Amino acid sequence: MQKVSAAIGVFGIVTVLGVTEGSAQAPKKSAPPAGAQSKTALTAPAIEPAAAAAVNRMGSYIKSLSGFAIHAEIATDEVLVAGPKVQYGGAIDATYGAPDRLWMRVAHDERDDQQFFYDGATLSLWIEAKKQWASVAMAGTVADTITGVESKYDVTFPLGDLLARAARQDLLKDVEAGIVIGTGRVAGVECDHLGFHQAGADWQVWIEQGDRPLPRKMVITTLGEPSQPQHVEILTWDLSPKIDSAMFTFTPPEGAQRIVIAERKAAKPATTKKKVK
Amino acid sequence: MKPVTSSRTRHVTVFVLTVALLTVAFAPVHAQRRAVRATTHTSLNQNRNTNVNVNRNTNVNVNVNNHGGYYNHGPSVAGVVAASVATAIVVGAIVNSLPPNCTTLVVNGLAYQNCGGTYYQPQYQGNSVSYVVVVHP
Repeated sequence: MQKVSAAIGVFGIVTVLGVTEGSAQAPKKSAPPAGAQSKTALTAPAIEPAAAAAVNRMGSYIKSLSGFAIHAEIATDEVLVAGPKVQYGGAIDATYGAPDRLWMRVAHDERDDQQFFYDGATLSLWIEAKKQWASVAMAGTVADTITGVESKYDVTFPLGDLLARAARQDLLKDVEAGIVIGTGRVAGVECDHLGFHQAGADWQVWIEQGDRPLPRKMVITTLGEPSQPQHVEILTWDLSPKIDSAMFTFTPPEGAQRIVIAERKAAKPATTKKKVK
Repeated sequence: MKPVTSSRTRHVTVFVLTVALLTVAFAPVHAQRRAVRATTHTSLNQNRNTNVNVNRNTNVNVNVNNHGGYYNHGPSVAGVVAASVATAIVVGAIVNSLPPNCTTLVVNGLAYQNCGGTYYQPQYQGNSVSYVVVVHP
């Protein structure tokens, strides 16, 4: 019995790697090759129940919190047009007040610092270096607003996986395979280390062990590029932050210029002429 | 004493010449060498647009001279720059930096840039500000 389950475990991991390879080699991203699908189907279950349970527990815990502050250190590989892979760094500071307050500052190499403000009614964006701001009317929880903004506008909201998709239990929506890799330490904290695969990406998350199942690290590997660039977030959490309600509302300073946020185009861009205001 | 000095001088001369040659050779392609493909997933959101920012950090006016070398090879560099040049003044074209000497005008509370008679509207797109060419607002 022991041997059988061990064999299934090993086969499961091999299958995960196999699926990964198949997608990486696919020249254009479309539906995953039929072979990969059937290979997954051979081994039950593609997503280990323990891995799914850990992610769902993390999501429920994040959703249950009344407020928190996050500091995240970011490293993002980019593939240059000429071929080489380079790494850019960044940092995010965010303060959240349940259910509909968020402030965030995003610093990233080669980009101007950006701040986001959401007070339950308006989501504003402020780029101080350019004295430019934009804002859109939104409503609902922070998770709903992030999801709404990402579906309507051409924006990838920083930490959106953890602030929106984890809290909405959406993280596993597109996952095709998942395993518990083991345990690992992030900044000295013991974590469960999980690995998942979905179309175009492998991703890993390190979730704090014990009664605070918080994500402490996340790595997303892009499979569509031969050099498989990675995006890494390492997070520290403060679960009793100082919250000043004024910090969630943006008031444009004198001389600031209002700009628009580009709307997300339909899958086929090009030919349809964009309406100009 | 003497041989040491002349050897050092020769080394310095060679070094200066090398730096000068490298500067001349690579200066025109400096901007495009840093152009990123922007294909890395930074989120698991499946909605994301791809290839929106292929031209990021690419200067429209760079002189396309490929001198070979690790950061310059590949036909796509010339292709991307050529595409930028060809579409730069068409309404709806998107660039990531403005030509010099633009003036700001505000219409209905929104900012525009007038750069020698071509109007650009700044927009937040793909997590940075780009500029879309518009008709006179």
